[in-house]
Amino acid sequence: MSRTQHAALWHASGSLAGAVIVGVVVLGTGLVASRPDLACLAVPLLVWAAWSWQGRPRGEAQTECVIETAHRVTGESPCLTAALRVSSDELAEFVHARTLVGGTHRRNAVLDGRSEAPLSAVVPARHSGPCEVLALRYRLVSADGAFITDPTPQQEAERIIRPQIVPLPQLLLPQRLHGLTGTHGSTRPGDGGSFRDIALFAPGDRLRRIDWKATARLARRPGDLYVRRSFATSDATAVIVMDTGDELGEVVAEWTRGRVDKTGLTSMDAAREAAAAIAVAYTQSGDQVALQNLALGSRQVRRGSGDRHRERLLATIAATRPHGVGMTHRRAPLVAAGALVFVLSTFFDGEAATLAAMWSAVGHRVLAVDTLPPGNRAGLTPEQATAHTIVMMEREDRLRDMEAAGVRIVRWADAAGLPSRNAQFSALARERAR
Amino acid sequence: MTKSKPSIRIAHGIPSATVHIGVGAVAVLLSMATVTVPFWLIVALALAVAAAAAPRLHMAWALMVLLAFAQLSHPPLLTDWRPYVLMAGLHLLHVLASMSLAVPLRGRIALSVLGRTLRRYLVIQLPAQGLLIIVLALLTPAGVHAVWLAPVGAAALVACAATLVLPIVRDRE
Repeated sequence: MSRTQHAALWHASGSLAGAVIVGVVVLGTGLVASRPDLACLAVPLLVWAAWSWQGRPRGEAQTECVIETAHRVTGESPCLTAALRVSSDELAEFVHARTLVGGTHRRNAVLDGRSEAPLSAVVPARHSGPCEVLALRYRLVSADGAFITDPTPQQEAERIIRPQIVPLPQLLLPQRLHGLTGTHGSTRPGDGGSFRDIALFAPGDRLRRIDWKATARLARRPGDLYVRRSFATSDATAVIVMDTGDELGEVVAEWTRGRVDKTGLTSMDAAREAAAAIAVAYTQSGDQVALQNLALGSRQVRRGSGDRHRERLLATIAATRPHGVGMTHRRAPLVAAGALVFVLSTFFDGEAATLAAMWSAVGHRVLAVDTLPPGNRAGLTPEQATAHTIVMMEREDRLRDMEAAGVRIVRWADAAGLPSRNAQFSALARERAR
Repeated sequence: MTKSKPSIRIAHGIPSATVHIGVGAVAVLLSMATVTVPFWLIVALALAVAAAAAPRLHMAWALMVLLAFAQLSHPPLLTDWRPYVLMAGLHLLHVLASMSLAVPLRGRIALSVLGRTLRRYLVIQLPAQGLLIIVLALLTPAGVHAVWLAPVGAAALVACAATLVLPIVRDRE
């Protein structure tokens, strides 16, 4: 809910002066010309002027504006709604509100100032993340428009829409697991994992690990005891690195215009969806997840696990918005040792690709998630089409360089003629198993 | 995802262009009804269009003066409908023109706003119509002009101006 209070100064709109001038001229002419019928025509105007002057507002108008937003998911068309209430002193008879609905559509509304001026806005929920629902400036108007205030400063109400949680096809694991507890089988001896081998009892082995059948079969000397050893279970650490430098939609012609209602699904939508899927999948399996934002240049959420950490991650991911091209990193941001690094980017500039290669070079398993949606080139001029082709070729080169540096690439949005997301994750899961 | 457009809704709203169309309609009808000279009729229609299209030019009030002066070409008769229509029309034109200064051309307006304006209009208009009937009945029998009205009216005008101006001067001080 957004609530603001304003003070606005009243001033005459010009109609009061018009009524007085016309009234006096007509009255004077009627009297000079000895035409009482003409003089009478001025009476309503002069009475109106006197009435308006008598009830004129003095000083500043105090007004309060409340915008309540909600996210409705009914049927197949989720939408955002906003309810606006403007309350002010009694002299304001109506309110002229200039609104910007959904960040794209300008709409005017004249509301009743004496009944808390209810106005409702409905905006289709096209994207995840922070969505502008309603922005407005308004001015108060006295009876019949005789007095008017200056427009108030702009007030905005936005709503954060959480991305849809899609299941991750496969849980990929890093090169190295850590710890002696967790849900993933480790290559180190320990407890909880599958059978490893049978060995002679050594100091430190627990008595309950003694395998009496194996001892009876294998013991050569009195006192020989054999124990069953198992693999340990371990945790994985996943680091989600989001590149929020740009937001590119399906419609290429809108890349420079950025009209949110015409872009189609954007790279930020895909990035939020991918990050949420990764965060949910890994935290649900008990692993540790951290979140970094490249454009902000800071670690947003420290690594952790559990339900509360998952909620923290989802809230942060949902609130992520494009920040423009941010800082340039001289060295890769620190991530936990042996972590699996997911780099979510469109790879339109070299920053994310360079960092991914750096992380790969120091031994991390790095997965580059390409968040660029399939492009629709309709409406491009020949020059724009050429420029798009060149930019895409540069991007392809960048992806190829990354792959050569050991970074694996997954295209998040499914596209015709390319392996599906599930197939790509399955292939990567087999890669580690080998 | 849905393809519907963002929209706003206000309770019992009508297009706000109604006010601007109202200004144009009242101005054109009054001009056609009262202005008989072709040249001035063209001028009046031009002013009517300007008043409806660009309220900030304040052409509606220039048109009101012209329409009022057009009454001079008609004899003041109790049975003539023109003075009554002109009084109602000028007042309505003024109220609509005043509102059009604050109401946008494109948008929606709550109907209750117009309801209160209409109530105020009737409160002023009905006694004024009564006054016009009385004045026409008493002062213009058989079309005779009230010559003595000039000095009496001049005094009344001074009193009226003083009533309107003095509070303004007092406020500024």
